[in-house]
Amino acid sequence: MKRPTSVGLVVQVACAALVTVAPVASTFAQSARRDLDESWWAAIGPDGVQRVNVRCGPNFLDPRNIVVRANVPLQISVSTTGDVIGHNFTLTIGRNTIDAPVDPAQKSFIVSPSLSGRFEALCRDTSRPDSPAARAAKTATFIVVP
Amino acid sequence: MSARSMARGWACLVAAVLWTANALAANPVQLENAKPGTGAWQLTSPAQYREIEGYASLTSVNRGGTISLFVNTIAPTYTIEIYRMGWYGGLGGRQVLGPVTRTGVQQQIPAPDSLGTIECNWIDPFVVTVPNNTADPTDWASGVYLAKLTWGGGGPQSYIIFTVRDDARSPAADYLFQSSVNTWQAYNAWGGKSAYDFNSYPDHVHARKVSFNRPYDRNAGAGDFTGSISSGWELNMLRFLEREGYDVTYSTDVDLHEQGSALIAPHKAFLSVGHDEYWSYAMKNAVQQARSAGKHLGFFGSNAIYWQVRYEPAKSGALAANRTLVTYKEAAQTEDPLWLDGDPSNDKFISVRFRDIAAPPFNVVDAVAQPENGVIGVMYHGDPVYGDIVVSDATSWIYAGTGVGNGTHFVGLLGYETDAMFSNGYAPAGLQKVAESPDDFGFSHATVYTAPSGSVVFATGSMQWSWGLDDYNVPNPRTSVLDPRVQTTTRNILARFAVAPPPPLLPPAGLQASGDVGKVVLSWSAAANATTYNVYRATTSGGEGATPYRTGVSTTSFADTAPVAGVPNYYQVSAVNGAIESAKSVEASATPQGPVPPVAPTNTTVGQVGVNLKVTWTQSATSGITANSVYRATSSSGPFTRIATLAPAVSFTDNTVAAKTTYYYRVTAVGGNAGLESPPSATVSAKSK
Repeated sequence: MKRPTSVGLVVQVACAALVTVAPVASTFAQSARRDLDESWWAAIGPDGVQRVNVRCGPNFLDPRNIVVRANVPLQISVSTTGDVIGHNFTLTIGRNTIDAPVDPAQKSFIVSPSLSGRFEALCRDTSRPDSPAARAAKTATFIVVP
Repeated sequence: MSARSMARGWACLVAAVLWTANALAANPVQLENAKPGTGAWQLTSPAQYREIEGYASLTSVNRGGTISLFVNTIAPTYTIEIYRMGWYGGLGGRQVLGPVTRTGVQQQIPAPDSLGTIECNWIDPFVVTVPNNTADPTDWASGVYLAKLTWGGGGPQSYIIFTVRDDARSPAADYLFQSSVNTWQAYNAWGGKSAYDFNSYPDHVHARKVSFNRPYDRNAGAGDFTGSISSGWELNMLRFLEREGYDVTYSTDVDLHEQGSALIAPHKAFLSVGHDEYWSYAMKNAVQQARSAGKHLGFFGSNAIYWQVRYEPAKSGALAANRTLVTYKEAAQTEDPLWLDGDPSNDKFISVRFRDIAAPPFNVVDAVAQPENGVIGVMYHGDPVYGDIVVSDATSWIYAGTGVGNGTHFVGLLGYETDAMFSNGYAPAGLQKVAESPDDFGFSHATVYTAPSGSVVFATGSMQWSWGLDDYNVPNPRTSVLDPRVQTTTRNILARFAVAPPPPLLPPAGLQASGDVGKVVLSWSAAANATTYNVYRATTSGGEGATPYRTGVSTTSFADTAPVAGVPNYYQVSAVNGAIESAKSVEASATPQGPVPPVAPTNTTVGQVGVNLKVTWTQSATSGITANSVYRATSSSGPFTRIATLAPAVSFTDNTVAAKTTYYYRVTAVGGNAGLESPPSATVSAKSK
């Protein structure tokens, strides 16, 4: 069989499209893979609350990127490794502000993000100022999407 | 037979011998890559709208096995050609089958089920039986294979990717290369659902289970392997290994899950390459066991062992085992049945990140369900990144012969996801940072360490490392970042991996502890290959901890001269050879003795010898007597005065007596285990003349 002509190929493409049920991966999807694919995409539970567990260590705050949906209650549960003492978890999303001491026992905070955008969370040493490197290591970004 | 025909016969024999010798000297990868290659494996007209597509019944097939290729197309006919991927003089592939012309079949396209799973159950496969030619390991040599599907007569094309294994080869290849099929499938949005929200439609809610029984979309599977967008991490590494002639064999995530550490056992090193993100509990357990057995581990990628997955059978029975990945991920806390069932015994398999399982709210205590940096040395910390790897310890053996110094940049090799060292309590002992590279999240790291077994574990902390090894995909879709220094570094690592570590050091046997005065004396049997020993001590059983009490003990005994008094002291001993330390021995304990005076001399007598008085006694029964003292008084109640201290003796003549005077005598012994003086002997008396 000869290679299809361009017209023939269009027909074949159209026919092929009929056997598909889902759209082809979009440009958004391809670009998003390069941006947010390893982010923590908070899932909305049966109770309508989206959740994320955050771990604060001496040189990390994990996950680093957290994608949450606007206008859905968000439960942030924070715990620390045992060697992190005297730290506060801080996050401000619009009028929602958390600035509370954290420790190895998980503590949960509920916020209702309404603003879309990127918001910085920090596990902050309250006993002395963090160095720039320590601050960078203990920073995470909440990405609120519509 | 004429002289000429004899000469021809000899020439043939010599040629055959030379060929055989060459074949014996060369490994299968070298022999395979000496065969003629082709660039025809590449797609010249990639299907844009799924005009032709397919999937394989298995992610890998062992030599001698069969694998089925299912194809969906509305083309009246199509062709299948199968290529093995390698170097082949730079052409990159060798055709091993086809073209085979087949009649096109329009297959049923399933809709996602309630968990987002899209599983095909297609018909009329093209069945490939891989020969098992034990005399020729290059006859369908182990490798990554691409089945190229082409619309009949030319037109849209696509791939089906699979791996051929050679489980029975003996001797086994030095290196085992693992293809990241789990990650390909997790990202695969064919049919509208992947394990990710970002490319799951229409609601951006990811599938909780994804099936291998479906084609890959253009970005996943072969697309990910070859780098149709901008990745190609695995192919770049593969081409480097095959070009250099390393003796490598191939497998997939699924094989490691199914065969466990037995898959790695015949080889010297296990190579995780590219984006090897999704692992089952059994997979992680397998590499931990391999490490304990002295197998080297190379993580030439990043984000490895990140999400834990489970395997389940396909819903349709024909293609049953391990064809579905369970990927609740962020939804596990509210949806994964293993968490919701209230049964803690299965919580270690919950499909969340390995680093989450040991932390609240799951709090699983398990040697495998732990953060991945405990094996790799580093773990994922951020993306996207496109930067440079920066050398931080140019003295490391990995950089030998590269000429790099601290601060040297490997340009463009950092990304697109990066790993870092985490101070989370799970980092391996002796972890060495060999690169520290600034990125948007602080610093990412490359590391190396030697496990107690002698296993060397190296991690690049970056997927793009392999871009420094090979330029496939240059100039489109990426520019060249080839770096001879990275190639040399990789050769150094692979050379170290090719040397099996010395037999694992076993812990010393026969540890014994005995309490002595003010000390505890330990002895044990020599451990093979040990050069020194470390001694661990505690005052509670099992409390010896990770820090040795003494290091560098060069004999098989040790006297602890500063034990904790009055209580049992507990000890363990480990064998050491260079950077390798064995596990600790069985524990032994002893309580140090306090100082004990000698027992007193006995059978004391005194009698006249001329004008003198002679005292005799039986020496103290205590060993180690260094002296005797003689005491005298003129009253039975004393006071007694020491009148003589003698080298050990059993008599003493008192020539200082006054006439007609009654004297009373006692004798003591000095020495024993602490140099103390014994109680006095019985008092005896006599009157002088």
